[in-house]
Amino acid sequence: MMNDIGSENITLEMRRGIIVLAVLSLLQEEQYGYSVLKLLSENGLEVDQGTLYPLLRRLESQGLLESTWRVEEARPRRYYVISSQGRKALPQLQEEWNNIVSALQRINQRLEGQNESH
Amino acid sequence: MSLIDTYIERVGENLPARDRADIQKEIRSILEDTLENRSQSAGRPVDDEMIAEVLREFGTPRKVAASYLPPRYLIGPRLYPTFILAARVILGIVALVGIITTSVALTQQPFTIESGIEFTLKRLLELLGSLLSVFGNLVFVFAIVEWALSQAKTENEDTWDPRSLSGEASRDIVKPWSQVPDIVLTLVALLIFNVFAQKFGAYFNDAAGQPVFVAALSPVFFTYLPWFNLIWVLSLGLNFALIRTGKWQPWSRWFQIALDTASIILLFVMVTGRSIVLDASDKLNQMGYTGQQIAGIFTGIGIGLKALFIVLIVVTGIELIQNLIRMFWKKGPEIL
Repeated sequence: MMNDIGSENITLEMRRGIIVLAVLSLLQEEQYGYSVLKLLSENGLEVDQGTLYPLLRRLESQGLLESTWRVEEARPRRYYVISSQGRKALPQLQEEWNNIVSALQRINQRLEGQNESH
Repeated sequence: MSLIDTYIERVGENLPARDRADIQKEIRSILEDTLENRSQSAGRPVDDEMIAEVLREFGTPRKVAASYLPPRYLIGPRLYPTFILAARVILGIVALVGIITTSVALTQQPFTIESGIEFTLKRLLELLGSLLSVFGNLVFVFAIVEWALSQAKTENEDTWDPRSLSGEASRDIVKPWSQVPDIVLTLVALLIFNVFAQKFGAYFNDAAGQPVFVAALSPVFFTYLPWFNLIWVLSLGLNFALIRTGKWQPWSRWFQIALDTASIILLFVMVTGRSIVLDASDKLNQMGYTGQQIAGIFTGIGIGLKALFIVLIVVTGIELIQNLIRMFWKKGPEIL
């Protein structure tokens, strides 16, 4: 039986896997780093800040995001938004995600069917 | 300086200079946003306790800096299995040779228990030094290969067609066993010239008919040895990398060409430079040898060594030309 630590690690791995899709979806509107973290949390996707902020920079270096520094409320903030390359990649990622969800549902249904027949 | 300033400075100490200022600026902005939000939620102004709490949640400066950096390896997962294999084989051989030579020396010389223990301990310490030195050289070589591989262009996975394997020039394919003789010879050379070089020489009978050992290699030889060691160690690294990759690639051809060129230059310097044979004329003279006999001995050794170096230059030169042809004449004959 899996212990709590094992379960927690797997949950974190799964979240890391889908965070790119969530961030690209969210950044169709311009946001700064902390607001991305808050919006993800408000929508039920708790992400470690040590994962999110470096990821934003990595996605930018991969050309999927763009960023600009702006001074607001007497404080500089880096605003991120999806790039044209990111806009092209997003539907493909969403389709892939839907395929994964469908595949998992089929696997679960198959297992449930087998259990009922026994 | 505030706690936030100190924290950001510490993060920066663990970041590469190129991105440091930008990442520090971003972390400061994120921290200020977090603190503002925390202050609104708590209904009190930002204080030292709140700052410490937020920084604790962010993590240690080293951890935060590491999250912004790609994984960095001295020897990465790609080369690590080969490194372990090479370390086991090479360290095993060095240890075995050390133990055998110590055992042979113990049986051949008249030792008391105390002197035998002292001799054995001394040899074991020497062996430990040799093992550490060999291990250090191996790490050095693999770190260079790791760096070279990280700089090399990786194959394009999307356009790679498995059917292209059948058309791949057979001369570029490296069978693991084909590198073994090279590896063994290089190891033997490293071992002989670094551990037993002082034992190179011959026994001459003195006037009383007793054999006396006369060392052969002069200090000049030992000025060349570090360069040969470098070439041999790099050559070992190349051989292990070839076994790992399974085929010759442009970078490995160029690496081999550079090693061959360096070897030829070094051998040429040895042929034309000062003699590597120790001048033992005085010692032989005292032992009763005539000037003519001594001149004959040294002339013979000198001619023999020069002939050996010239043969080595020719053999290495042929290998160099073959590699150059393979580099620039892609569709050249398979016999090369």
